[in-house]
Amino acid sequence: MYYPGLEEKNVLLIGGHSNLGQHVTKLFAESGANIVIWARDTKKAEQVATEARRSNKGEVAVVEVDATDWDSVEHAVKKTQEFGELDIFYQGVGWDVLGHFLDLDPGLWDTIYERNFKSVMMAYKIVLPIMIAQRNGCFISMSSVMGRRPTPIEPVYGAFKCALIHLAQTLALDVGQYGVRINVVAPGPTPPKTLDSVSANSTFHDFMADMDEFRAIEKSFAAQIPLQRTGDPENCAHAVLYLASPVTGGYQTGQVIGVDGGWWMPK
Amino acid sequence: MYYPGLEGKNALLIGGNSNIGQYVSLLLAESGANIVIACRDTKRGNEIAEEARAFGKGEAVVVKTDCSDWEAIENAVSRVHEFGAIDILYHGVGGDWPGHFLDLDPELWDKLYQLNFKNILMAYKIVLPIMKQQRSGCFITMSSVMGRIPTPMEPIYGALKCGLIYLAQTLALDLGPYGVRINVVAPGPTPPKDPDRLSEGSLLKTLIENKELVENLTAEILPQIPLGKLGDPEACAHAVLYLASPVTGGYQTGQVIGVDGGWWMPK
Repeated sequence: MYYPGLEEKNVLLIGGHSNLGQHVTKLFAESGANIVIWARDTKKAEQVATEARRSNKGEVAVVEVDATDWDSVEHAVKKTQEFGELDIFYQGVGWDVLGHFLDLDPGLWDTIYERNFKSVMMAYKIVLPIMIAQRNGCFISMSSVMGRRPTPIEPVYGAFKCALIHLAQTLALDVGQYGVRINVVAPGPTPPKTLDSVSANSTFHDFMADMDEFRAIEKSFAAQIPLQRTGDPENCAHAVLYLASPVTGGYQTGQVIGVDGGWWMPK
Repeated sequence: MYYPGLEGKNALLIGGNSNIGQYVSLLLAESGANIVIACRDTKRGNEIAEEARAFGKGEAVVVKTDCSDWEAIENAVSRVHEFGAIDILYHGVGGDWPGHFLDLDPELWDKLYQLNFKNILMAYKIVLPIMKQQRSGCFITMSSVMGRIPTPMEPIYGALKCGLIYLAQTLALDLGPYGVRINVVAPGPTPPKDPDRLSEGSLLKTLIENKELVENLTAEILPQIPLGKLGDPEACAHAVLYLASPVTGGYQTGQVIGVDGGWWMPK
């Protein structure tokens, strides 16, 4: 699908090669943007890039980046600026281990913090000054329905995903005056169709290690969701494009678009 | 702009001839839907229908409708049934006489209730049983940022617009199991591009004729909006299309999409 106003815009996607991000990449490519995919699993990223190049519009590049490493992210930003302005930034990295709080190994707290929250802070800290100087930019980060409604099997992850909404909205107040927009997409449970379609480091490898258990969790979620099913990664990616296009989303900042079958209904 | 999955779908647009609704009509037509515009000002309605037909895709008809009249709504629905199923209902009627609560003539209470709430109750009551039976349907109503942020200049209108969000979400829980989606768009202040593109009887038309009031309101409102500008009716219409298309919005129900420059930021 083509979203207008994105031709020749430069888009950086951290995690633009995995479950949802690969569809975001594809839609940006179809809309004529130049794309840089940042990934640890560059093999998977190259596959997604090859697919994106089939649209035959903008440039598509892959840069190896550890999203939790400051130097790595800074280096990648510099490299991407070779394209020109940094118009759109998509932060799609996230990771969790399912389990109730008291069952969760405290050794995982820092990892959950670094992957779900600190990596996003770092991206803001490095990218927003550039967007402010440009007087233009669009930053989209991924929260989750788990960050809007308390869910016992994702306690720490959920708290950080909630924090991401608050952070995005706080920063949106800071940078709105410079024409920089910051928005959030909050998917419901959106499993990949197959594990082959996600990156080597995807959290879904753990989630889906015991398929019977995963299906049981999925079923219990679906029973609580008004539309009674889990989400689809490609469908969810449209929320990012809707927000990113200046034609469709240009008057939006600090917004949260839920794509969760109605599991959470915001006021 | 073309939104996929709407070709040959039938949409009823109550108020699809005025400020925001006219662009919803045109985007649906551009995407190949058949549209029925239900409105009082059929002159304006026919102008939009003519623009819609220029896309050379679906049908576009206008039905003279008093949207506070039960039989008139039933009649408009039966006009849609001549095309087949009623796939999409857009309800864009609303309006206000700005003023602080204690200054507002109590005579206006019933009128505000009728215009901003009862009309929509009626449309739900008539259309949802049909969509439920179809096991498919998409109903979109228009709230407002004033229904999310208490605004002293629009006390009753705001309360009713808040009520519309609650109502949509309650009904979304009821209807989700039948594949019927109910969502809300909440614009910020969105003046027309051209006053001639408003319908006769539009309260907005009366409001913007009072230049001094508009200047005062704008001066009061603008500093509170992070993006520092008022909305654009065409940009706002994209939120409706995003929700209506099964490809982009098919996993959404009970959602509220704010198009308000960040004035309200939902959790």
